Amino acid sequence: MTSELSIYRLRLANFWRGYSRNRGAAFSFFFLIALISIAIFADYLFPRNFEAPDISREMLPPSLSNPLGTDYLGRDQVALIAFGARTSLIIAFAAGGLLAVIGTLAGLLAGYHGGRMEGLIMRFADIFLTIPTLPLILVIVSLTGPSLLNVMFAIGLTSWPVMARVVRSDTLALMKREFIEIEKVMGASARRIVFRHLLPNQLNSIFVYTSLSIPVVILTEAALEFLGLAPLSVSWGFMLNTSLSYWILGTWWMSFIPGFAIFITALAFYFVSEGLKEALNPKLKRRRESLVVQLADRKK
Amino acid sequence: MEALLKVEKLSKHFKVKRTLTEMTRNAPRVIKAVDNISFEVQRGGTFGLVGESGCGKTTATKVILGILKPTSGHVFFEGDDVHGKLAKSRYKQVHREIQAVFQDPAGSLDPRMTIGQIIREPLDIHRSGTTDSREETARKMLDAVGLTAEQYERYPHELSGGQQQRVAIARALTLHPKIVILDEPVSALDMSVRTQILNLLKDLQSEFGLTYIFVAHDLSVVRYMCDHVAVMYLGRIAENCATSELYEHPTHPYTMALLEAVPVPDPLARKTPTSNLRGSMPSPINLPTGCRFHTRCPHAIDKCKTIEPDLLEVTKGHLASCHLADTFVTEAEVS
Amino acid sequence: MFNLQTERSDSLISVQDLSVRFYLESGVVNAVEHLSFTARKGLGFGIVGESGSGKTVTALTIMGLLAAPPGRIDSGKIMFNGTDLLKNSQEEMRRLRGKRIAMIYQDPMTSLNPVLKVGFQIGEALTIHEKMPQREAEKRAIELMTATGIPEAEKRAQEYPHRFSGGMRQRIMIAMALATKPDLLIADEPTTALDVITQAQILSLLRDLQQKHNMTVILITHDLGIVAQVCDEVLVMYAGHGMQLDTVQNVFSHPNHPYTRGLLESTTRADRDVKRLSSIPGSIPDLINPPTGCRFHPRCPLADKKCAREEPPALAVKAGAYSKCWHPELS
Repeated sequence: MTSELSIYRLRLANFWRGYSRNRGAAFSFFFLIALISIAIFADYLFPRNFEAPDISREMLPPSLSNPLGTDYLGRDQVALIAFGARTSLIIAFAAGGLLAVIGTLAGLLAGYHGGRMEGLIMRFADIFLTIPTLPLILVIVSLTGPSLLNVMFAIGLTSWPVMARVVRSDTLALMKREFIEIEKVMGASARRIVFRHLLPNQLNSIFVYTSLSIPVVILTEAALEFLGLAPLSVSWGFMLNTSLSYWILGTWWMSFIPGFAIFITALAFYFVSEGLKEALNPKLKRRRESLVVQLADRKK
Repeated sequence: MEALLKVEKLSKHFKVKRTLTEMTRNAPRVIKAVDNISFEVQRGGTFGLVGESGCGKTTATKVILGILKPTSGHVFFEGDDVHGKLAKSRYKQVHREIQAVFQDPAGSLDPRMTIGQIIREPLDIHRSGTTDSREETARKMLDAVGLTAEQYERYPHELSGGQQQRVAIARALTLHPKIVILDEPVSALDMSVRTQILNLLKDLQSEFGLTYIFVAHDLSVVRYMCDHVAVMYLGRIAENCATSELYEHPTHPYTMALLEAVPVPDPLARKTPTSNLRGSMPSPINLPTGCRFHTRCPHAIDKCKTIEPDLLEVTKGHLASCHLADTFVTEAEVS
Repeated sequence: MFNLQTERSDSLISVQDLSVRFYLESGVVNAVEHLSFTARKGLGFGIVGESGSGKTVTALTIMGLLAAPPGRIDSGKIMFNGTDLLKNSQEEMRRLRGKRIAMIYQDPMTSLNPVLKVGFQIGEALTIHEKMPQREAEKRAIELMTATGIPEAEKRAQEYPHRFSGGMRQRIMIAMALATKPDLLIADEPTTALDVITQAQILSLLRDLQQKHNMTVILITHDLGIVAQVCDEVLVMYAGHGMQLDTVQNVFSHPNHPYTRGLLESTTRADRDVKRLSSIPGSIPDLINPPTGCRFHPRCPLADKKCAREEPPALAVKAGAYSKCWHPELS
């Protein structure tokens, strides 16, 4: 029992060592952890009534009492960013995850089976690609009601086709490789081939594409907020959108702060995915002794 | 004695996508990659399948392996039709007993798996034994193909081409198959490594009692490895006989042309390799009428242009598909 | 280091003590080290080696086509018609290339420009180097196509490369190379991508042209059969070093280098039945960290401590032939 746990710990330690070699990725990882923590504990860090307008403090530039300034309703932007992180992160993970899962599955099935199934899936994907995304989301959300869940689903369901295309073309390329043919010769089931051989060899594209979709997802949510189709009024996207009307007044912090938050979060996701990509790439793994040997060394 | 593998009147045709203009011109619709071939493979031997690229040898092996379905004809393994209705367990068994090693050593290994995982894969797929017994078998196979124990945890890209091919061979043998199809197993390897692998294959054959189907285009390798050879041209078998017969007394003009063209590493046998063949290999989409080889054959007569020759016995155990095969036999005997 | 006589009146090109290295981030690749050989006028000179032997790098260096960073010519001379090619400027090499020295490559599929007519491409060398007018160049192109065995040359000169088979394209390459009647033709694995019958036709064509025009052909290959049948002298390379140089007859009948001997003994034969071939153990070394001393010693049955320590000199066997080994007599 203990040895199983030790092997697990060892694997984790090895993984971290490989991952953290990319310093951007390691930093981004901690950044995201910090961001998530702030989002979770925002209630305890900021006063309950952060949302209450305070006309006396409207549109104040950054100062000691408001390090990130105040918005057009006089609300402290630090609190807004912290609470806004909740929405943005939830949307990013949920919708991003949804589109990644659906897109990958669709792409894998289409690429592996070919023939009619491929035709079916890709034509279905084409439907979503020809209809403009935002109007489609609007229709879905207005029909199902403006809840966070609906917004998540709406965004996830309309964004998967491009991912499916990427995965399908990668799958097709892999299918031509001899090791896939050998798997068939050895009698591997379709499920095994798809999930153990096709999928792991495409993690590159999947990670990269998912992380690149994050900012798009966040901004789409912002647009929905703006149009009143999303429930929460505190989100980075919304902050960004409303601040644009006040540009003339020179209130750069009202746009810059939420914009920068979106940018840096998207960047963090991207670096993390790059780090994962490198950590999981066997070609970059430095020669190391077998786990058994490492365990034995540790015990000494 | 019943042959271990019997290919009977096997054909595999591929549909061709035609453009509109081609359709109006009634251009051909199919590529007859494999057209009505038959041969038998005896237990314990090495059967060679020789031909230039495009002759259909790789397609034929894919049908035997079950990757492709035949357009017509059958492949019988121990009497059972490989593509027929078999009991589930027998079906699985048949497919387990026929394994393969392909040409590209790096391409046939999953770059994300360790060598140990790769060799264990067939056992994992079929869930034979316990995790421990599978690892033990895999390690034994690793040793049997001449790799070191520490390479068990390495990744394919850390190995040389020859070592990668050894891994592919080990993997093919893990399930103790009866037949191993070797499709150009050494073509992508350097000369000094080629013979190592060929010798390894020979040793493993006697150690594990294997039957090989050896597909290649290099006539010298085929002569070293095979005891029986079939020469393919544009989807058909031109000649099929024992190896020594093929090289000493060929009776098909294509075989004779191939042998004349091979450069021999002996300057004293000085003849610049020649070829008196005309033209070039026709495309498999537009096959010549009659004998497929007649457009290039220096001996072609009128009959060859219209009637396709059957694969017939010329001398005992020696088959050839040529109208003039008999004439070549007499010449050989005289000389 | 052994220095081949360059004063021989019949030598066309003489490589002396050539060393070429690639300076990469991951390390320094010792592609060619201390290589010397001479190819005589009008003869077929073969360079045999496996991957990593340095044969292609040598050819590119002669042509002046070496990718200069990261590649670097660290030492040596290449004497051609009295001048050291390595001292030539880019412009001077450009004038030589295609005119006095020509090269054909392995893959005929990618060596031709797909959007230019074949006749035009063949004539290009003439319009560039001999300032021939277009029409005359195309006429010459048709003559060359006929000389290299392309039927209906006049009609086919107007066609594009994709209409030709691999063997035909290689003939076009040869026609292109011969347009300016070069003194030296370098053929880098010209038949590897072709089937054995087309290969025989191309090799016999090369041999004919070589004899007809008294042209020197340096034929690079890994196939010992081709060398035996088509070349007069041969250089055997391994891991960037010239291991043995001699006439083809001698190399095949008295291989006095263990590597050559090992290769010959492990070559499969189509002309005779062999029960069991012996093979050279081990694999080709890493050129970034090559073995010390003799590059072949880790795989050599005759290796001793000296072989591991010191690189053997190229011992002259007789005029114009050498063997780079501490134990050539034992081979």
